[in-house]
Amino acid sequence: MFPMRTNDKMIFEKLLTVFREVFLDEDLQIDGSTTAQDIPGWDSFVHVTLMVKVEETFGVQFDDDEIGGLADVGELQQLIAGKLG
Amino acid sequence: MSEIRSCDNFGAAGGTAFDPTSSRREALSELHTGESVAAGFIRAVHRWPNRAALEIGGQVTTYAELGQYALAVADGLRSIPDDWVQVGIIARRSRQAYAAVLGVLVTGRTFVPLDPSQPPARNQQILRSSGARVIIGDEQSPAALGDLLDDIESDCLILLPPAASFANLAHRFPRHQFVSLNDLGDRDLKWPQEIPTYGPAYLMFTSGSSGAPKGVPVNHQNLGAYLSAARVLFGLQPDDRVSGFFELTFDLGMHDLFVTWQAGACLCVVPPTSLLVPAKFIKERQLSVWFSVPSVIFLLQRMGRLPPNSFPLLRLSLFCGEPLPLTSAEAWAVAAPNSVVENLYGPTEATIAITRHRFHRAETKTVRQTAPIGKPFPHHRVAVVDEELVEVSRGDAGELCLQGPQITEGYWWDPALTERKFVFLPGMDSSDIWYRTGDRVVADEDGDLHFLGRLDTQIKIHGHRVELEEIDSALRQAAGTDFALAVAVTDDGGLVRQIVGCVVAGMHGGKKNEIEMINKCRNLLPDYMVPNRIVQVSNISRTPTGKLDRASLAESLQMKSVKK
Repeated sequence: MFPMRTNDKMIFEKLLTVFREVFLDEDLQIDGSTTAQDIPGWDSFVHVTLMVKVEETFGVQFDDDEIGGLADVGELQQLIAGKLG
Repeated sequence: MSEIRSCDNFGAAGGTAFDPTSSRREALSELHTGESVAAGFIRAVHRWPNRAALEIGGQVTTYAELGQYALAVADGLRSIPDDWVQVGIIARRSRQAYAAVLGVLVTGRTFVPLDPSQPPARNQQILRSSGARVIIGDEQSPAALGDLLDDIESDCLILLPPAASFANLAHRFPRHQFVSLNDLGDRDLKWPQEIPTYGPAYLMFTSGSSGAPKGVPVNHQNLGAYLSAARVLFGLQPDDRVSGFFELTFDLGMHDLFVTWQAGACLCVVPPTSLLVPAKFIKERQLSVWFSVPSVIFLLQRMGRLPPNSFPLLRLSLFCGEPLPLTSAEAWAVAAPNSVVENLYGPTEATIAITRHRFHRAETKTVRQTAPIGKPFPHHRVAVVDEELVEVSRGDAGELCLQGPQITEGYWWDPALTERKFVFLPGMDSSDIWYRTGDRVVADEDGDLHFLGRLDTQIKIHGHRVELEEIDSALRQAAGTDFALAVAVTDDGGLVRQIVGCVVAGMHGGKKNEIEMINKCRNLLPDYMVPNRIVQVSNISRTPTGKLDRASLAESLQMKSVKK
């Protein structure tokens, strides 16, 4: 795995905090390849809650297709980075 | 325009046709006289050949073009044996998928929808149970077909569009025959003079309490009755732009296709990435008619996508598949101020939807803060009965029974279940067969019905009908123990939000094993049935009759607030 740049690291750490809050699990671990299948309880309702929290945390707005088309956490991280410029 | 006639030949298909009890066959024999449901589409082709029938990802297919694609499918089916009536379709949201539906119907055969995203084991169960030996796919199908065919014993014929690459499949499965549907080229295929109906229009599999999906054959007369009602009640016009929200494996998807096409309107297929949050799609595609499950409203609200007047072009909004909370209906009415909002209700056995209620702002008619399911469609009757099947007094709760031309004949090769669910009611006309829904309802003083819940362990999650026993079966396999039960966790309004698997603690410790068990369930069940969580419990108590006690488990889970 390549070392993350500072900005990527900052995004990842904030993202991890959001995930832990939403899934009510202080020990939750995620990485770029984590998908909805890896975290019990990640259904469509929780996914939408997660996206709202991410929008609030990073001050970004997702497109409808982006919310429904994410493959894994890595894609979400890239999407946030792209929006933050 | 060529005349479209129907030659009824039901049951002449060499033993493959559905055979409920003979007395029921006699009672219902007069129902097999309707024209093919393909006729409405064919009339639209002749009347509006250049109008858009289908819009997928911005690509438009006209009625004339879709008709030609359908005829190419029918042409591909020409050489198969007469008694191969059931035809599987493993394709979704593609032009080929819709052409396959129409092409199968044009030949008088029965289509059996299979969802390529479902676990192969479930599709195999459906394929075996249906008896289908012909499968039609689209360009995306080869991967799903590879998994599906892995364990199929009988020789099958697989039809794929020319662009699909299936050389590897043909090599891997030499026993099956793979055929490329002919390119249209510059051929001009003609509609047959007669559209036969050798069997039901479609065979829809729903969750079954025995642990395997059960088939509901819906004949042309059933679907024709629905389409006649929909024509009058919803009044779609050729310039309507209609959502294609539902999968073909969901019977509400039949509404999307046939209600739209009998009106000459355009079916705008919602792409998979927009199903969760379709606000932009509704606006950009300028939809005038929307039809989905109510939980879409909840998700749009949560994402902040439902400000007032979001969808000014919508003129008709229909919701079905699960209870419609009043707060959701109100939010939709504000977001789509020019739209009528209707709550529909109906089990697959009663063909798509059979009761309706028109929502009005500041609705006061409610039980449990959800909209009424209303009154039956024209030519249908409802009865609310007690355990002895005797009608209860107005205002008393009971089981909802349904009667009329949309009521199907019974379950696919399951006369015992058919006898239990399709019944004669005491005191009613002895020629009328009623379907027992298993839904608890109450009628108010105006005769409007209100849904109260289920009498058994069936639940609705995100619009999908689920028998918890079918999840139990998968859960037991995944956990390697008989002491496992699935429980539905509901929100304050009684809507199911999560399915939680409960396994008696023992060898299944740790979070890793929870994920492993969930993934095993994923190989056996469609996504919407997979438990969101699997928790370990120290014990599952038993009912006085010795069964594992789901109700007390549900109560304890509800109290612990397992849901996120």
